[in-house]
Amino acid sequence: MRILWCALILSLGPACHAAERKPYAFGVLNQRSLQLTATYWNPILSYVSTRSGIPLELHIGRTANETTDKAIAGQLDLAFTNHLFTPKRARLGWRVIARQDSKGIRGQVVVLNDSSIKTLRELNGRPVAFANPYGFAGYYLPMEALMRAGAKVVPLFSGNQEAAMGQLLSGQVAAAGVNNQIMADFARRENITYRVLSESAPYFDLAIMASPHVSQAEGKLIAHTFINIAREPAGQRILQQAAQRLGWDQWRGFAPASNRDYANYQQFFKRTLVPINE
Amino acid sequence: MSDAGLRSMVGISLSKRIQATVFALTLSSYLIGLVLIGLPLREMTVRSLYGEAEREVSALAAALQDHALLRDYPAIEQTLLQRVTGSNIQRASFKMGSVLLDKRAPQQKSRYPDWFARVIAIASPEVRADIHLGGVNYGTVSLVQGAQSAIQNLWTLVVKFTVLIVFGMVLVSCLLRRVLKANLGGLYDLQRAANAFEGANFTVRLPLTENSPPEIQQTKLAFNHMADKLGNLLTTLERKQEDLYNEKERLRVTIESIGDAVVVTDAQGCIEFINPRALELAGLELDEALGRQVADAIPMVNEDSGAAVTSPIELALRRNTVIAIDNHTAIARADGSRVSIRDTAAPIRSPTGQVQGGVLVFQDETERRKLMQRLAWQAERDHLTGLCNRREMENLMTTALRAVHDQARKFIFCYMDLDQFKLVNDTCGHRGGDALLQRLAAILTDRVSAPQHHLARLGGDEFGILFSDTSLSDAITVVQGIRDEIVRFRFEWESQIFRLGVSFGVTEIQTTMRDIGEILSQADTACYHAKSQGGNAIQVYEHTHPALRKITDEMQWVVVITRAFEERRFVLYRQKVVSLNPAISTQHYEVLLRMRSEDGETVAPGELLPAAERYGLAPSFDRWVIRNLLAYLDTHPHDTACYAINLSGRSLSDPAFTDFILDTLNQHNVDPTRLCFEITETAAINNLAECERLILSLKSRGIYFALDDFGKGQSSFGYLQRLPVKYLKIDGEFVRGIDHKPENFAITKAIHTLAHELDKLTIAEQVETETELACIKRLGVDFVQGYLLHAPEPIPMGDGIAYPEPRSARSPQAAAN
Repeated sequence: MRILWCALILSLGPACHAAERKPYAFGVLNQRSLQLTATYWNPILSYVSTRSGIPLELHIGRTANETTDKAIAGQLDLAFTNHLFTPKRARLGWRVIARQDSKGIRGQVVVLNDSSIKTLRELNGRPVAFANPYGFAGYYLPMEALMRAGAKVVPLFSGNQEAAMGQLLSGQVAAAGVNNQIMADFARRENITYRVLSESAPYFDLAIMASPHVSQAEGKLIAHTFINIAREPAGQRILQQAAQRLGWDQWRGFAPASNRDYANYQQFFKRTLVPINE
Repeated sequence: MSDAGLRSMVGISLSKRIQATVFALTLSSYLIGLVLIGLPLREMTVRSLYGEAEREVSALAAALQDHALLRDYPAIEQTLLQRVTGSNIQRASFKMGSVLLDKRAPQQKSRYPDWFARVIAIASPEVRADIHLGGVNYGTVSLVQGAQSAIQNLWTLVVKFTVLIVFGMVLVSCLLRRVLKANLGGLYDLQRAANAFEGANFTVRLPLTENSPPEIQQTKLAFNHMADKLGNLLTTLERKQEDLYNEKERLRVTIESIGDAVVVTDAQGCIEFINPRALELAGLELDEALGRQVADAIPMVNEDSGAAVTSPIELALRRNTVIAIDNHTAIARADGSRVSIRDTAAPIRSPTGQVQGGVLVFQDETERRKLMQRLAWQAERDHLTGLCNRREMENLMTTALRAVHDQARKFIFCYMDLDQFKLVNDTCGHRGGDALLQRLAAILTDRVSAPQHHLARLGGDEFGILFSDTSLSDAITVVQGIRDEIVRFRFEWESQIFRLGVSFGVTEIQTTMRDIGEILSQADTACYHAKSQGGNAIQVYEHTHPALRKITDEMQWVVVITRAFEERRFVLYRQKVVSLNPAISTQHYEVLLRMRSEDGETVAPGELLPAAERYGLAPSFDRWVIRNLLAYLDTHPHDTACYAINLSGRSLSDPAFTDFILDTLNQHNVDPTRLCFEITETAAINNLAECERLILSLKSRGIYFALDDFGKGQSSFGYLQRLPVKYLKIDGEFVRGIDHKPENFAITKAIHTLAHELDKLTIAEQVETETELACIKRLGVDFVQGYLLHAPEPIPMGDGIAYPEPRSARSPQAAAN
């Protein structure tokens, strides 16, 4: 296997040597602020670019929707996202080449611990913050739960999940629809306690996807490089520093993934009550 | 401050100097403050500017992070534009690869002057910042932070500071002016007061205000004290100046009006001042004298020799001492006349003793010297006759006596006394007497013409001749010639012709003589004797001559009488004056004086009285007798008789004698009508006027007078009209032998008849025989007196009456007084 990878690298040698080539636009779905996102991803992308010889350049939209629009518009070559699993976007041909090595994500409806709201129905008619109307864990999964619980809430979109959590913290909304992992990180960082009114089934977190015009080889090489970050000391230091910037307890590496690992996304979109925004 | 700086401030008032100094200090402080504050402020501003630029670029980088991450260049451009708009950022740019976005702020006109920007020299800082996210450079932001605002702030600060300083200076200036006005007001008062003083207003004083500083107060106080003292000083000075002016005027007037001639010269002896008297004496006009040498203007000569005399002022200036000219100096005036002067010249010295001039003072001595000569002449001359007087004769005699002793020279002194001079004097008056004496002096001068002989008038009608180096016989020859000529001489006065008699006493000055008194005494004695010879006699004094011896003895009586007075050996006797008129029953006595000798014998009055009369003791006797008689009458009231007291001629001539009698009379209870004073005819005639006054004075008190020894002297019946006596006592010379001498009888009868015709009573003296008494009675004489009727007896004074002590043990006269 090692030999295979070496051969692959060698075959891509001319491409690696072509250092001056136009880098691939690597889009990252807006889960955090732009600066935090860049702070996290740029060291990783630099490392991958160096290692893979394929220059990757972080491209990000002002909002998650804008980032997704960039991907849809073909302005991105690679993307770290889970917004491309809706029926229409799935038809764009993006493929999963790797994923972040995490426990998976769940969609949650949370209130602050001191909130009197105990059930989803109690949120009926109340404002609930969401990151955007495109987020899977941060919108579709909690809204799905709310709708299925019969709670017709007034959605307020904050742009990203931490912004929605901030609105919850400031009391502007009664509850927030969040990614459980991001929420836990946020609560730990901000030292708050919250209560989960609803939690979905687990899903893999965002996937590294390659657009159709990224060759398979390059896709694999890039995926391989991502996956191998955690296997090299330099990669681990980068991941560790990136995790510290985000307030994580433990750094997270990347794991191999394919479209199959994200089939449950497609299934959800097929049966969801929540109107799909595409 | 430099000398130039000090000179430039001449004429600038103290207030302006202080204000200028404060202004300069404030300005300096302002500039120093500006530098001290401005430099750190500038540094701080620069640092602040850089800090702000850094902050701006950081902020801009932060603001552009998202846009750069998103590659949103329009947003970046918009952001850049926003940053340079409305801020101090002059220029902001973003460069990312080939992308360069550059925005500049529009040019704004600064509100501070360019020179301030050049002085402050604060450049607009340009800073850069890279946008790094996760190790990726998203571009470089550069920014030029505009310094205009900072410079403007500094300029504003400077302006405010300046305004503050200016305001402060104005405030300080106002305050300073007020303070200076309040504090220097006193100084200006002092200045005005000093100017007033300079203008001779010495009454100005400074008021003491409470709010002025103590230094000014003390200065004012000191000025006032000074002004007071100066005022007093000036008052004193003015007074002294006035006094000095008055004194000077007084001196000028005095010098110009005094009889002394005053000439003031300079140090060379040239006349600077000469008073009118000096001009008069020198015979000069003022313009002839001023400026000339004293020796030229007022030449001086010895008035005796005529030789030129060195001017005393010349000597005084040369010797620097006072020069007194001798008494023989005279001014030789230009007209040839001379003025005798006596003068003093003295140098005028400066306080350092240097001779500055001289003063010559001289007096006209002409009259004084004439007077002195006249006085000298008069001192030795008799003014009436021009002969030597008694003093000069005494001097000559003293010289002669010394010459006799020392040189064995021979001197003869002759005493000459006129016999009838008093008659001429009384008859013709003093003028007649004086004319007689002058004639006689001419005769004598003619006769005693030899220069070695000296002729002198010794007293009224007494003359003396001192023959020098002449024998007695030659002297007598001359004297005889004088006598003969006087005898031949007839004095005519107002149709009256008088024949004169003269008596001479001659003595030779001997080596045995002790003093001139002895010479005079001998000559007088000889003359007295010669006079007693009947006149026109010449008597040479001889020790052995009996008559002269007797006279000499009389002189011895003086001693005897004086001692008798001291030993109270005088007693009063009385002799009855018997009335032959039956109508007169009152007893009359004549009081007689007797002296007891040391052995108790009664001394005859014939020896006593002539000596007393001759040597001036008679008035003492008279007073003694009067005092004792009145005391007796006062103490013996049973004795009611009338007493007659003899008075001497000298008592009659005593002006105080009348008062003595009246005073003594007042002291005793005695009827004045019981008293009678007897005056000899000779004494009365010799003192006619005095006698007349005495009689009239005492007669008014009831006292009577009797003319004693009437007919004995050269009596004239005419006198009886002037002498209001009650009694005429017919001299005993006519009474004695009246019984057998028809002429005596005739004279007595004539006297008695005349007396009765004149309503006077007559008394016949020395009646010693019965026949004489019978004759007297036959003639009808009123009283008789003599040993025939009553021998003198002591007045019974009684045991209780003692003769009073003599008041002086030295002489009877002193006792009588």
